[in-house]
Amino acid sequence: MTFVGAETLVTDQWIEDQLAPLVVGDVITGIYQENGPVDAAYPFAVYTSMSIRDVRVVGGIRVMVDTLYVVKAVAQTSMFVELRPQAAAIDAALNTLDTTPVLNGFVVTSFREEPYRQATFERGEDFRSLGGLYRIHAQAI
Amino acid sequence: MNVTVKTRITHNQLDSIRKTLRSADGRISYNSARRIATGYKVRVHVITGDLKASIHTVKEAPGKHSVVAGMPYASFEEYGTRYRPPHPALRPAVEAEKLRLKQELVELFHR
Repeated sequence: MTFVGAETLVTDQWIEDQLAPLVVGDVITGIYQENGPVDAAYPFAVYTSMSIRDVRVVGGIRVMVDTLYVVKAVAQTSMFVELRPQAAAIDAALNTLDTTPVLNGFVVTSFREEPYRQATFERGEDFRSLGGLYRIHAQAI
Repeated sequence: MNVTVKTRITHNQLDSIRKTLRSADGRISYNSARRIATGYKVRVHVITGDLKASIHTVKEAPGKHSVVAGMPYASFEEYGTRYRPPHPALRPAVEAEKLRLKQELVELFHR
């Protein structure tokens, strides 16, 4: 029996597992959900769920969830190009056919739906985010 | 052995399809944009209410409507910034509308 919302935790875990080698390889300094801590070292990765929908088949049986995540590398810089290695590494990790099971489920498909970039100026500092919106289908078991 | 398949569409039928689509596309895109705008307003993170109040639809061309958020910080709310967490509202509204729009188009072609 699965518990409600389990698939979103599966997706979160899968993203963290996929990006973990980037932390080990010093491509990024950390992986954070929603937002990086104020004192986080740059560049780091942030992922956020933008949308979650159930996918049902005939009879209303829920088979998996269709999620959309924004996953981005963030750095204190005024140049997007400085985030190119991190964004490319994130894309290689997530735009993949690797559906390695994680605890309580597995990811069926994951691909980049569109690229993402954002420039912000906050607290007197320049920040750039570069990454993508990833469509991830997951199933809880 | 050869198999030949012939299709024939008469001019009258094409005219009928064209008329149906022409009369429907404006209505469908308008209704779809309105539903997205409503879903956006329902979900949007409200602090002052300015962003919510600025959400509206615009007719850009026949059969083409846009959902517009009039505040410059709308994308910061949607995707977050370095120090502000994201509050997705437009994306979920669009995702919710996708299935409904698809169904509406299927129904239109089955008429």
